[in-house]
Amino acid sequence: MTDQNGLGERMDRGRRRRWWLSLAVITAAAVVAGIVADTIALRGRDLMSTISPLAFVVLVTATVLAFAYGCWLMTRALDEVELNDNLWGAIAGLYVYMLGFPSWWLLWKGGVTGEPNDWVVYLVSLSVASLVYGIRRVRSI
Amino acid sequence: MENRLRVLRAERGWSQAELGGRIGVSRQAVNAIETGKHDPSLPLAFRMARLFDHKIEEIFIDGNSK
Repeated sequence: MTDQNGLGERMDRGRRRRWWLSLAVITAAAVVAGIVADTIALRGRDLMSTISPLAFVVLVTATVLAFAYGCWLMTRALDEVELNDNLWGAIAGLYVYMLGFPSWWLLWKGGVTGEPNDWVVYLVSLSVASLVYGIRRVRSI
Repeated sequence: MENRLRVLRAERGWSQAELGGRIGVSRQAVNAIETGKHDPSLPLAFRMARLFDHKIEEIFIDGNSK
């Protein structure tokens, strides 16, 4: 019989709360960034004429800082297994980007494919990083 | 690397979350260590050894040593 209110259980719940808080901050920053990007993509020219470039700089800077703060909070809530999983995911995504983009660029120059698309490379890198992280997390459960 | 973590934990009636909280890692991390999917860092191994009042080599068994 295990005690659900033992010292360790309470500390574990506190650690999980900090993890979820950090995820909430990161998600909020990502949502704001997504809304801003979407708005600019849809009404770019109109928006640029009504809002000063300085406002964009402030908004983007605030979003980046919020994201960085969320990441810092998360690193404080991570244990070494979670950190390993994050690092494996990040390195997989980085390698996909490092090898994927120049390979595509060379294939484009050779007339084999179309011009490399930044967003496709970005999304594939992010997807691979998330996939590797997810697989390792599932293995730990 | 094999280990006696599950046995030591069971002797004290602790859940994986309880042990994890006491050594500052998640329940998943405890599970990964118990099942041999993750070898803990030296600082974490020392924390476990202190908690269970055992030497590290009494908890973790190096299968390669003779």
